Amino acid sequence: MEVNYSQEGSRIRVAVDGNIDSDGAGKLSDILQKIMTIDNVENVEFDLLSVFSTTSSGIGKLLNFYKYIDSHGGSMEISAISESLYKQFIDIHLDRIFTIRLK
Amino acid sequence: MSVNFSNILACGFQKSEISIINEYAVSHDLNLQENTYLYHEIFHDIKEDDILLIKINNQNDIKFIKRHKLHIYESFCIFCLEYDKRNLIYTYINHHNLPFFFSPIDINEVQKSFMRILTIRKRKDNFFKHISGLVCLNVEFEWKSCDVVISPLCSDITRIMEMGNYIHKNESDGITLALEEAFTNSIEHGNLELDSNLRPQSYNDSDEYEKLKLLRMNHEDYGKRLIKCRIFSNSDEMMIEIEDQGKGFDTVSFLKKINDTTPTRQEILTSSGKGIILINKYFQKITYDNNGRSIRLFKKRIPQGG
Repeated sequence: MEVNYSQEGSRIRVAVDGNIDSDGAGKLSDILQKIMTIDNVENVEFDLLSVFSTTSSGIGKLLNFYKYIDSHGGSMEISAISESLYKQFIDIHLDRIFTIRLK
Repeated sequence: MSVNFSNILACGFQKSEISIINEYAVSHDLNLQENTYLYHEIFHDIKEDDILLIKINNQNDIKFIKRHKLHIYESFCIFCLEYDKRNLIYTYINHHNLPFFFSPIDINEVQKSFMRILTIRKRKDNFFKHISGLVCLNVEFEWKSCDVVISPLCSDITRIMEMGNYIHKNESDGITLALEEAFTNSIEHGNLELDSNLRPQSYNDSDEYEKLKLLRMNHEDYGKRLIKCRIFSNSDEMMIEIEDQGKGFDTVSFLKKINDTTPTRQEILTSSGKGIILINKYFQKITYDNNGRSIRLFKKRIPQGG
């Protein structure tokens, strides 16, 4: 699994490629911690089109990051998601937490 | 396949270690051939009744073995690992289901290692006999919690399910992750008795969960508790059972909580149990037994033409 991010002004885009297993959750966490050190971030979007499944550990990292960005007045959305991951997120009601756009 | 060995081919060992292996070989009427550095000479002519003993000293050794992996699959090997390289090699040999044993060697370790080989060899014979037809399978494994390497283990079980036509190829990734969830739960919440409430609820919180996990994994009372996995299949379905030696838990209340179709936003943000929902997604039936210490995952065989 690979995860990268890019910044355009106050907007950050995080792209994840590959399923988020136990090791992948750690890599994701490292990137999210780096993003948290950037000033004036207003919006973070996640491209999860190439992620077909995630462990609960990966979901935990996303939720904790959401709580962080929300507490700092920012917003988080899933701008692209695979169909199978979308179904997984719906099963655990994450669509009630952040915006998820199914492409 | 015979489980009687005739020869030990040993390479990479120091003189003092070879003399210990030789002591064992002589007492068990085995022929010992040793080669300190030149692995390729040994790989040329490995027979079914040979045991190949290789000491992994560095990353180059494992690279060499990868290049000759076809030979390794044909023969039965044990690897003695230098402790500081263990993590480096652990994943590779687990992924390829190769048995391994740790240094330092003394005569008791050699004795124990060979007994393990015989046991694993018998299981392997039965295992592959069943795998080739996969009409029915009944195998059981057990590991200490501190020895389980979850990701490659779950990949291997997924491969078995694919070979037996219990899953489509496009389900493989999901099944592997579901199995990872099940094993992780058994190890962390079962054997290590870690409470999900210790997980950080934000990035500012210190990760008491991870700290305690590391502590308990290295603690004799927790890390050495066993995880047992039983895989049973017939013409209709496959069952994978994962059992821990923890305290168990109230499965009725737990399942009721996670089946709640209307959790509050706060509950979604903080609740545990997401792993079980993921497991539920990929297996047709899940049952608990033994007061929650045992979880059974069921998957029906795909009908022919399906």
